[in-house]
Amino acid sequence: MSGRRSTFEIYWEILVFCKTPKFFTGIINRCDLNSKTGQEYLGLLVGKGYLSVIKEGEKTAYAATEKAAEYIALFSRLYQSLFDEIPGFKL
Amino acid sequence: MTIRVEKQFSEELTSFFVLILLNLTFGALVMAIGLQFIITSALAMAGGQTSDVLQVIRVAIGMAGMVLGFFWLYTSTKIIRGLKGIRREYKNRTTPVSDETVTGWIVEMMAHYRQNRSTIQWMTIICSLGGCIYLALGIVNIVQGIFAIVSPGGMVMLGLSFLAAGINLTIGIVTLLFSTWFRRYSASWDCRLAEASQAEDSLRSAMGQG
Repeated sequence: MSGRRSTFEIYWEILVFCKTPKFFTGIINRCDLNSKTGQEYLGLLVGKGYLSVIKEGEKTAYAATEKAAEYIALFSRLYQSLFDEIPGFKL
Repeated sequence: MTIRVEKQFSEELTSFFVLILLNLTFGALVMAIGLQFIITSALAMAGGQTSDVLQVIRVAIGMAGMVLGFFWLYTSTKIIRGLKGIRREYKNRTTPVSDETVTGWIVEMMAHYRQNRSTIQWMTIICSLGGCIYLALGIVNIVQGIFAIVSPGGMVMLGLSFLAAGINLTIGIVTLLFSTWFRRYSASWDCRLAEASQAEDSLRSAMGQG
């Protein structure tokens, strides 16, 4: 996904993508991030307990925690209400 | 809620895509008509026909139309580029659509609007300007038709001028309608962006960042 996204939208994308454990490169490619910002986002999400770190030999995978499911549900509810409550555009 | 939101998303995506496609077509049409105005007026001036002042006005309006048509095409292409990816994802969806998939589309549309907000606002201005130019061309055609009545073969010229006026006035009115539609689209998304920033406050406090 590209375009101009907010920080919270990027968190949501990372957490949804990491429902099954994912490696760093996969995450930054999928979420269209660079290495530096990718590290920052993952660091914050790990720090807040939304992602857990799984060591697989030399590599590190990230997986969404139960706490992440709450964030994902809240985000979905809030964003879907934007479409549900605000009259849309129709020709 | 997801089914209702998906239905609304689909309608909105289709409406906006159709609007951009129509807009693209009209942009091309405006550019072509502008060029045609310049060529016919230049030929008429070279042949020493009709009032020079009217021909100069026609060339100027034609040039303005051509430049406007170029920007019109350029901005429409920019908007449609981002939209095509979202449409492709929507077309390739597997049913039933999950909650996360629908939210993902909303996030993509939101990102697309944020990126193209100023372009869409330009499009509103371009359509308003284009509409006015074509209404002006239509009026020039009517004036030409009225002047032509007194000249030999005037009835043929009158018919042709009124036909041209009809075409130009139609383009002008439709283009002004486009401008209104773009304004409505922008109003709807600006409202969503404002609501989304409020939603971010809830997310921020849920994350304990507030």
